[in-house]
Amino acid sequence: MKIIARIFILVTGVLLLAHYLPSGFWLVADKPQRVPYVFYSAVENRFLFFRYGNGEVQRTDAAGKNYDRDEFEQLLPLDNYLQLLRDGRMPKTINNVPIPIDKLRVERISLRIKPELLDNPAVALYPLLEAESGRVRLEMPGDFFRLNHTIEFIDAKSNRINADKSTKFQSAFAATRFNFPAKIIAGNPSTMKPYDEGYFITDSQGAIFHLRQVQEEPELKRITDVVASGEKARWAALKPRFIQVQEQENREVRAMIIEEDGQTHLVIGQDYRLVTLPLKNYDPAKMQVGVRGDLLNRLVTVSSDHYVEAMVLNRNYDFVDRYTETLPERKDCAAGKIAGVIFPFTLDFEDDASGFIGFHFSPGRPIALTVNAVLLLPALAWVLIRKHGFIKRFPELIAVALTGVFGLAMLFLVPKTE
Amino acid sequence: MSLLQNSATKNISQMVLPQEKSRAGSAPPARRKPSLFQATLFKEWIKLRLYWALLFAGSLGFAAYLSLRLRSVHQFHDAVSIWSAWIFKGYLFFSSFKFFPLGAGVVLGALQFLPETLNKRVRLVLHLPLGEERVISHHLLVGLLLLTLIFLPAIAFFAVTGWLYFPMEFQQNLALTLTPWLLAGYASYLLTATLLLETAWRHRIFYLLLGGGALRLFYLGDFYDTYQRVLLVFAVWVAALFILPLFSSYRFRKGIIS
Repeated sequence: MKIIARIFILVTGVLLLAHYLPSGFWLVADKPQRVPYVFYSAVENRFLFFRYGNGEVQRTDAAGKNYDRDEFEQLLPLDNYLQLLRDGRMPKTINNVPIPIDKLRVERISLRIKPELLDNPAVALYPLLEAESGRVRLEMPGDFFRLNHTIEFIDAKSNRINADKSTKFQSAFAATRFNFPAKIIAGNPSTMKPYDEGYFITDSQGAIFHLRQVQEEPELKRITDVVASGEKARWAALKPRFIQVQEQENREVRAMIIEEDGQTHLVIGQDYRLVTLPLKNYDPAKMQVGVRGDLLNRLVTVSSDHYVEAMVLNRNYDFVDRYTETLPERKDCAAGKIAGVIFPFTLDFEDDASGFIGFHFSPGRPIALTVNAVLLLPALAWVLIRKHGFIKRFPELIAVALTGVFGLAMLFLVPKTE
Repeated sequence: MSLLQNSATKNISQMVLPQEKSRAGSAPPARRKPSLFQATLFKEWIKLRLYWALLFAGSLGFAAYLSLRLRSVHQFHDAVSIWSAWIFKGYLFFSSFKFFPLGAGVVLGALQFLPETLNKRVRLVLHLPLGEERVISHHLLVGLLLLTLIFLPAIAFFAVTGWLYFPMEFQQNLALTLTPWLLAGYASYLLTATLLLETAWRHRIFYLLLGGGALRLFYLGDFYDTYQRVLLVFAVWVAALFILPLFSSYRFRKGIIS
């Protein structure tokens, strides 16, 4: 019992120190570092940047030239049209393309998927809004549906299943040969959007469906049944890991699909055209992906805290240009190197890439093992000088050898048995 | 048995009413002598019943208040908004209960072990023929049982209220959100016992830091299901904590201060 208790205290202490000591270290040593925010100038067809440093924003181009605010806004008229219109500086044409002022706002789109969205706790109950109610504003329905072995609508007020509505939708699911249970159910359960696109749903076989409620009737489409014949094979081959449905005013982008292997696609237009984004380095678990569009271009960005990739596509989603930039990772800067030497490993419970608590171990640098060996010498000397008995303090000595400073601290802290 | 009565119920013997004494004697049907566990249970019950009843009432009252508050929220807001607050914002309506188990664990642990350690009274039970490990285990089991009885009505209240107003999905969220709080309650009880039975001040401070550092990890997130992936490991850790008060009592009996 005594030995087990001491080992239990030892292990608990080492794990807690491996969490708290590095957190304390980074609280002091961490320097803010952000990748630049990328713009694409349709006037000069080149990339421009907001760079953040010392609490200030610098407006630069790829060559490092700084711009003042007015110059910068003039180079990005489609991003700053409100200010330029107010100042009377808005150009009538950009590269001979006329710019209709009334279209500028509607043609701006913006979407973003953060890694945390891919791994978040969620209750599998969804409100299905009425897509064509004839009302100006969207309204929340009085019920939520679940999709396990069948589709069921549960009325929130009475907390009971709405049998009539459920039966109606069940027959729609049967008619489209939907295989329960559903794997992904993607939609935006909100009324703060211009219209309702319903849900993109994958069934147990991986087939993708689109569900809406139109005039109180189910509208369920198996997407391979409705796309152009040339697109069928591509849709059938998709292995979605995450789908984000889009409801933007110009109704162009309908959804973004991230596949298991990180391939990312946009679903475009009434005929569900699939556009694959030719991204070079995108890891959905670690980076966020976003699309910002205006009248002339689509700017796709992928970013983490040390990498940014920006890619311009034209309005037909053909590749135009790409910019990438890599900053040093935190573990490679001076403080990171020190941390990697002192701490043989770090334990984190929270992670930007997940909404769940987990055990995230990250190893230090290989040289930390040498540090452990060096620390073992004074530890051994202390045990021998204080005549603690080598065998009795063996667990602590092992802990020093394996976990360095954490083990060394515990050598002095664990209560003794004699 | 006489030793037990001499040692631990000495101070409260005046409080024990005659009918209670006879009830203790006649509790087992066949007039067998009560087992030492039953004796410990009875001794601890007499020692703690007043405070236990207060904690029990506190737990029950708190849970009833939160349940009634949910009922009143239901009368003032439509059900869809309430479901949306739960599903999309992670609002579980019971989250102000989260530190109650922790507090109850500390209070019960202190009330049970502080009187034993203040004048080293626990030394007497440590010399029962049972052996110190078993006798302290009995005390801890009694404490854990009393703690469970404090938590149960609250859990039942939440489950029933949840069942009234929400679909079955709510029950899983509730279970996965309540469990870390309850585990923190058991852990705080065991850590309080460890700390009080420990003889050396520097180790008491060490246990305080260790316990504080560990228990903080039970409150990292409010959103439902966030602890799903670590719950089993956390539960095993809390179960393993049972060994620490035994270790402290060993050091206590041996008078080890290093």
